[in-house]
Amino acid sequence: MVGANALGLINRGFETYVAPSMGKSLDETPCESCGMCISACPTGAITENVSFKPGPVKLDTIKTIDTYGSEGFEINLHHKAGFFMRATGRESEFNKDGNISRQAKFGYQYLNDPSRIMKPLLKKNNKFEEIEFEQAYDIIVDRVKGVNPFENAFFAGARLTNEELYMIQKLARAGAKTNNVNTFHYMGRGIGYGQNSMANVPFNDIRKASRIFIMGSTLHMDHPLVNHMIFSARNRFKVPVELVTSNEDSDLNHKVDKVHGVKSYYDFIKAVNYFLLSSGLQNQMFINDRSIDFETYKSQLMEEDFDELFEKSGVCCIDELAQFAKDFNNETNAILIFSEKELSSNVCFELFNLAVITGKLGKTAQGLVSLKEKNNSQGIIDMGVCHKIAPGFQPWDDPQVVEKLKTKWKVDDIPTEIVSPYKLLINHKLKNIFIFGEDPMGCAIKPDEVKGWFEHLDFIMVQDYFMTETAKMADLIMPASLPFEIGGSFTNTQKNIQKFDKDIDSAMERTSPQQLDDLMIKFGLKNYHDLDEILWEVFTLLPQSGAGGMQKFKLHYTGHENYNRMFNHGCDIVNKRFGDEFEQNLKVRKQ
Amino acid sequence: MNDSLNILLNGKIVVGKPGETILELAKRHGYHIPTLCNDPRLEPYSSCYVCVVEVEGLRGLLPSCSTKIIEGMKIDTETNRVRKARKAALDLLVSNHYADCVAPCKETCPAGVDVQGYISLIEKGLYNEAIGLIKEVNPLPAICGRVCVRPCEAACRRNQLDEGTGVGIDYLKRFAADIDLESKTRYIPKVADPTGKKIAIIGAGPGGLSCAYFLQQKGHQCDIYEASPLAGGWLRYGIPEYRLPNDIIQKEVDAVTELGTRIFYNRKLGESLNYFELKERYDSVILTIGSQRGTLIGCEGDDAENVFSGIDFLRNMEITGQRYNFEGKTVAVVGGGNTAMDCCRTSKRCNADKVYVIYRRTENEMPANPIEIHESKLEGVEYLFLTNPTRVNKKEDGSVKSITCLKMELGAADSSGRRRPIPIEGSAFDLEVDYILAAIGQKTVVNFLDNVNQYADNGELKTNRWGDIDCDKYTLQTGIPSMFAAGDGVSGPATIIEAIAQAKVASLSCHQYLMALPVKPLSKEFISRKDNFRKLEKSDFVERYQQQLRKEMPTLDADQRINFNEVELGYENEKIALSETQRCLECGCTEYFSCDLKKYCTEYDASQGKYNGDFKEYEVDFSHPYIEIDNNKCILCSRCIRI
Repeated sequence: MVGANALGLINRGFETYVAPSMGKSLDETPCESCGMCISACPTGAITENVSFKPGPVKLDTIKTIDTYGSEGFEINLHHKAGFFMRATGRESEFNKDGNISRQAKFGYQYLNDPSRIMKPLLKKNNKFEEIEFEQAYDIIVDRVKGVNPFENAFFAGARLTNEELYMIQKLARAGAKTNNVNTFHYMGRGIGYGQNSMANVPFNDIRKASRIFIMGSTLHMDHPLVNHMIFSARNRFKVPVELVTSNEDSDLNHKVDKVHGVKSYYDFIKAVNYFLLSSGLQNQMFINDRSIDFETYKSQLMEEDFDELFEKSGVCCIDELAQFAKDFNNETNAILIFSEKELSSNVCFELFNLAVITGKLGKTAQGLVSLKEKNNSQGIIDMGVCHKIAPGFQPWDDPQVVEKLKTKWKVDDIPTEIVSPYKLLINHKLKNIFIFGEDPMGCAIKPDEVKGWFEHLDFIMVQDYFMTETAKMADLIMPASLPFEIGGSFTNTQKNIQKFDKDIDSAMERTSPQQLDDLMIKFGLKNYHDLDEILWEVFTLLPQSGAGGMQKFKLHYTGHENYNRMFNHGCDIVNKRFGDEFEQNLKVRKQ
Repeated sequence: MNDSLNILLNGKIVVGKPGETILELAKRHGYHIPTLCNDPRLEPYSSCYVCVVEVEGLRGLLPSCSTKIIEGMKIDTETNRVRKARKAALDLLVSNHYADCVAPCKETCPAGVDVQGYISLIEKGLYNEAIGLIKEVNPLPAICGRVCVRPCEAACRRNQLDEGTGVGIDYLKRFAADIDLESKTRYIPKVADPTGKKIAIIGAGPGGLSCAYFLQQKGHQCDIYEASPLAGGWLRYGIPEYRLPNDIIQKEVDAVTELGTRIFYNRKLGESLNYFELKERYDSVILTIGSQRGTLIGCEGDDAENVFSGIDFLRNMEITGQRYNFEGKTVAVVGGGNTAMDCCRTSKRCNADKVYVIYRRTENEMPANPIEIHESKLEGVEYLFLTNPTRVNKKEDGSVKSITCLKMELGAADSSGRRRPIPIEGSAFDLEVDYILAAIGQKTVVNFLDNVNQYADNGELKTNRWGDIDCDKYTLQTGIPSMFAAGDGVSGPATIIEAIAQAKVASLSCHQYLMALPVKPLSKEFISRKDNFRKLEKSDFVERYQQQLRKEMPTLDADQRINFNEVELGYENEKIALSETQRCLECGCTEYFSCDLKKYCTEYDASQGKYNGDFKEYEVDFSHPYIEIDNNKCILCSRCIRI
């Protein structure tokens, strides 16, 4: 079903055995190391190849959520006294089959890493020394207050819980009085990812598709379980799968029914949209009922040169482009699946436009499935960790929103100017930055560039589990809690808020949310008694939609491609560690 | 089309959905049908035939995973015929399942201590957890870690490698136990709420302490009655301190009493303790009395002064607290077991001039632990093998003058498999000695039988033909339903770990009795064994595993031993222990707790030997960094291929 066909039956009759197909060893096959075979085995014939002695011993179970991906799949982590030995999928609301991704299945070793940071560390003479939490708070407050508010910036990562994200942006805006709130994860990539998750096809409806389109070339490696859903639909229910890819050598090419080779996703989708609109093939009834700004969009798009779009798209011929456009448009249950990792935010805008034009949003088993890079990428957007966005994905330049926040946060003023923290950072206008749960140095595609930004800063605070490349550059390091040590919620890529409990006691004196709470008090803000209070506060800030009013889909015209992904691995050391280890292991095998 | 179907499932009318399989229907209605090849994520495959059911009107049985229901179907999922067919299917699958569920160390251990499990925990520095795992079946890990006869190490497959020594299992156990005893987070089991039941346990030896430990956890009040002034039984009074320090015994005794168990000292059943009292005050009694009386040589003159049974010699010193002074004396120890070792090595520590061990077979046949033999030689003990005492010669004052012995030679094997020693004619010689210690056996003393039977009103306590307590071999219940027994008193002189193993059985039976449950042993679990297919050989291990020499136990220098200081010093540090854990070959299956095949084989009482014949053997494929394929365990369900 995975479609890799790595395993097969060798020989027949009594001589039969299971082995990598064609009699090779597993490392020579197209095995994707998804680990699905382990979950399928009813005996001990296929097991995890672990680096420690697994016993077996009876283990305790933590119910949690896969933090490697954005799907929000429920998993169990199995441990003995805090030593983690196994991860399994858990049959649950978003994970009906109880599957587990490769990353979560094999990437739990970091939880056993004894080098975890447990106390605040202050850099003195280029060496880190443990200090007390109180001391660390005083340093943070002094630093923040020692410069102009707009010289501070706060960055929060997509691994954090909604509660942490909300507290961090509040701490910045209401406490440090700066609107410099952002995330390296999405930095400089435009705002087109914001609407991606609106009205997506639920994962469990992928199997009901009548035709599936994948856009990209590494979906099977980045999102193995969605890949499994796609190919399980193909193999069990004979759903044709087509691939739009700019990579001629992707392993996916051999698994699908049809490959559309392109050079530019952006121009390809715009050309498709152009073709549909210029041929009058749009779903006008849906557009009239459910969308806004259609005419503006259409007129702007029609001003472009179709031949040029077609040329730049790199698709072989007009017929193929037309065929793709018609197939997607006419197929009742067409689903297009893509990952933000591979597409720019403007491609995402145009895909959204395509879905509106073809009338495929908010319906059963048709439309878009967008995948993000991290467990709480969506939470970053929803909690307002962006200088342009307030909690609840509301525009920061809306005075009503700001008024509401002032009342809620019981403060007289909040900074309202909108300046890109990215621009401030690269132009050396910042003095202090506070980074929570991100490793921009370690994950940078161009580390030298990031180093250049950081070298101009006076003070860097990093909160993380480990001594990351970024932490090494920091002046102060705060320890970070794992999700199951604190509880809280994530929002998956389908905008489902998933709550989870605190399962084990942290050996850390103050957990991550407690640290934020402590800082709130230092800045004269009201602290929270429990995490539920925070989510409730977010709900009260949401815009009140009219009764029974249907959500309208806004079309956005985009003028140019804006691919500017500066960080790999969702800018998270944990993802990076597993990604690097995986690549290393595969490389060794291939030699 | 109908959107519901009427089905008779196990005699009940249920509503089925069109297109549904029998398996799905049964699952929805709470009937569990076993299956191995079916995966809800995949299309039915029907290769294992474990999910068969009976459908009325059809001659053959049908695989429920692929049979769709039809209107009016009458299905039975649990008939005898179905169960038999499932068992046959499982028998067939395991007849080609060349794999071990558990490692030989655990299988060989009388108490079934999960060695592979605790080695895994020690590897991770989880010492409290390792001790918790051991204490599920053995409450005395620090004691056993020093003096167990360790059948596990003899069974260890690392012996098959060229280095020739098994994993230092007992050393590791001791290492973890010693750390645990001193740790702030020492393992302490949970004790259930009081049941109001009271149990009297006779004897505070390893069996009695274990019974108390297990049963107190169940919420029963356990009171131990001990004839001696201190607890431990032969652990304290038989094993010398240089092997097992008294403070270690005391710590593990305390770990039992801290759960709520009380120990009453100097109370001996039939003498200073009347069964009438026990019967009135307790709901149940467990006899863990041990085998207390040492056997003498049984030859002419063995009533001479200075001829003792070995265990009396050891016990007297412990009770009086005074060491014998053997300065300038010659001591002969008769026997070749561990008691003989304790006697000869203790004699050396009592400053004896010369110590002989007289044994009628050769060193190869000696039942004593080889390490003990080795250490005794280091300490200067001399051995007279193939020698048998025939007479003790007295001085005029009635004390020993010499011992007359015959030289022996080995003849044909006897019933124990050892070659029988035969005297060589005319080989008699005299050996001048001052003391003779007979370490050739112990007897169980059951002098309280009359006292018990006088007041027992619902049965009778008896002894068997060896003079030991007679009880049911599986439940250890005696002729009196409320009375159970365990340890040497039942088996005759045996090992500590066997006493502990029996204590576990007697505790379960006693608990069942107290809770008015049927008294029966644990049901047998299915265990797949490579040994069921063929005997493993050296070639199965050499080259497949890397050689790694055993981390030996550091000991006191031989010239530092004329005292009772502990000879074995314990592993120096965690690194050494960790290194020893790495020698474990992990013979048991990692899926022991989760394997469906094992679960169903247990449920259906499958047997691996049912279909003898050819079987397939494969090399395990470790080439993939994350996935391991062991085709020996594969049952060809093809789920891995189909997913």
